[in-house]
Amino acid sequence: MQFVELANKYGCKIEVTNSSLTVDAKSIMSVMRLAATRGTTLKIVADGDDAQQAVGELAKLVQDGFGEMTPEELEETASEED
Amino acid sequence: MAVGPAVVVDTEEFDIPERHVPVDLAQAEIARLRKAINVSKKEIQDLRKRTSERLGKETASIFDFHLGLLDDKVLTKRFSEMILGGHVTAEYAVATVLRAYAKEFLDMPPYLADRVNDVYDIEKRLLRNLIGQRRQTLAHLKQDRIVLAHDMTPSQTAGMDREHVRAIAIDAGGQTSHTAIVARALNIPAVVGLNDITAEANGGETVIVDGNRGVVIVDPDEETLEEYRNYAAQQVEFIHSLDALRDLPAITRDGHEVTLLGNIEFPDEAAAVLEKGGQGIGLYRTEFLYLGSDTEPGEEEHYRAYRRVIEICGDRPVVVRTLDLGADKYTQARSRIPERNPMLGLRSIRFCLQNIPMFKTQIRAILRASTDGQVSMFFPLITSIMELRQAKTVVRDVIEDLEEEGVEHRADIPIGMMVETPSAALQCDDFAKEVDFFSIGTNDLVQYTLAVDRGNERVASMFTVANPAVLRLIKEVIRAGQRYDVPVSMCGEMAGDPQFTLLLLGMGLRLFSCAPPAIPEIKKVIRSVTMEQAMEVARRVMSFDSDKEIVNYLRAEIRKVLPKTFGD
Repeated sequence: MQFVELANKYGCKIEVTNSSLTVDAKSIMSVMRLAATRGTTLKIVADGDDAQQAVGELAKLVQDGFGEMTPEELEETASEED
Repeated sequence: MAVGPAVVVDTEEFDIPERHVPVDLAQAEIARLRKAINVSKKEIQDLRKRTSERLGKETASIFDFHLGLLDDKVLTKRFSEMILGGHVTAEYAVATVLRAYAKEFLDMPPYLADRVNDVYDIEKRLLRNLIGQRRQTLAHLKQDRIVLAHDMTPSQTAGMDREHVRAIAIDAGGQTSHTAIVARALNIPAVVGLNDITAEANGGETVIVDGNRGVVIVDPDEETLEEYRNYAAQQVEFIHSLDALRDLPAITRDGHEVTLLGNIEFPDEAAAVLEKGGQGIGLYRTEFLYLGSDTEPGEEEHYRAYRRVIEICGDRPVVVRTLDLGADKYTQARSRIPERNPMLGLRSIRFCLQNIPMFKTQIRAILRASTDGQVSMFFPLITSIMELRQAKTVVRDVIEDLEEEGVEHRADIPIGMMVETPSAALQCDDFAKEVDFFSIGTNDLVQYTLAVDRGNERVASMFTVANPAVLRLIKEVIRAGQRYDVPVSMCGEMAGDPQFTLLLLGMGLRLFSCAPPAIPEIKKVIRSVTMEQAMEVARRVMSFDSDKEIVNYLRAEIRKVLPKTFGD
């Protein structure tokens, strides 16, 4: 659960979405509910001061081969709404 | 019997029932939960550290996931919301929320579905800590309470606040017989094997526990309460009337003297035996040294406990029984493979003879402690002569060791054995030549003679010491004792049941050892009868062929002697 661990290092609010569910990226239980395995498309949305960096690092973690997701299938979005 | 407000203790091994708490206590539940989470985290950190040292970092990393769950704010928020919104206990919130997650994960791809076991693991740990808190509060209650628990070990029972726990009622049956013994020793009314009494209460309700009749009533009506209060008052009056007997000897009306001793589990109980008029300790059960803690007691721990009993008793007899554990959580947790039939398995003296260093530790302490006083020791559950000889060889070895080391001890301690299996009773002539005394244990003797587990509520009604076959075995042992001039005592429950006192006297028993509270009543019976009467009762009883006839007859006879007895 490196993904959740990393997400918890940032102060900003981070959410992850699969095709049907949006959850808090800092919660192991919630992220597990996404049932993300190889082939799942995930969207990461962060909101706050370090949002840009958070999304970048989280995406990199996935691209470096963490977990079961393949980098090609990961779509990333970072937004700074305030 | 006792009446009071209930406190309920669940177990993490079973479903947690939905229990509600008053609105103003919801915050307290959240505080309990926070504490349980912190304790659980600490435990997992320790576990991770130890695993990492032994099996490497890789293996230990599974605990990171557990820690992550406990740090999960979404999760803890859901717990709190459930407690505040539904006014439920922390236990119920934890179980419900985590089970909902687990259910969701079960339908996921294998890698994630495997995590369900981790979720269950965390659930168990949290529940254990939450329930543990509740158990701890039982050690320091501020007010009188009736404890309703799903399950309770002897050591948990022993650790309870003796002043404020007025009674206990327990769902479980089977393995709780030791718990019942401890409760009786503490003089706390207890009823076990109630199946689902904990589901009937949330805590706070008024509960009546009638230990004599095995009745528990949750939330009784005013009429029932009144009835029980009167009954309790009568009981107290009766007990006080027996106090007058304390300093009088246990002697029949025609001058036959009987020795009346007490059974104890804890050293300090020895004082209670003397206070009730007992002449010494006829059975000191030493299991509680082992059950009271997670680690095996050392020689000094044994020694201190024995010295305490001997000091309280002075010159009075103290009969120490060597470890009689087995067929319970202690030995089962230590055996590599759980036994299929533990009652016929590695228990008691058999367990000791296969764990010689442990056995020697206890014997060393007994021999060292008995340099003064009138101490003897005996082995439980002997079934064959070879077993007895083996146990005696261990004692000889220990004596040699002590002599070599120049440690002060008593080498000529009298050695006896329990007669509590049909084989020991049938072969008692042979055993009589090799022991200094016999002590009859009735619970195991009934269990092994009648093939009945009294912890099994479906057959428990067949469990009776009044069975003619059991009585014949007992008679056989008393007679062999007389033939070989080997003293015979009885330390089983039968010895403390006034219904059987006349019969046992008539059979020739002269040494009774029972739970301290029973001593005055037994003494009263002894002092009220003649030996002629007792022998006539024994003769009649041995002519009956069914336990029903025997029980009915004995009941009628005891009514003539003790018009007001309790327990029927």
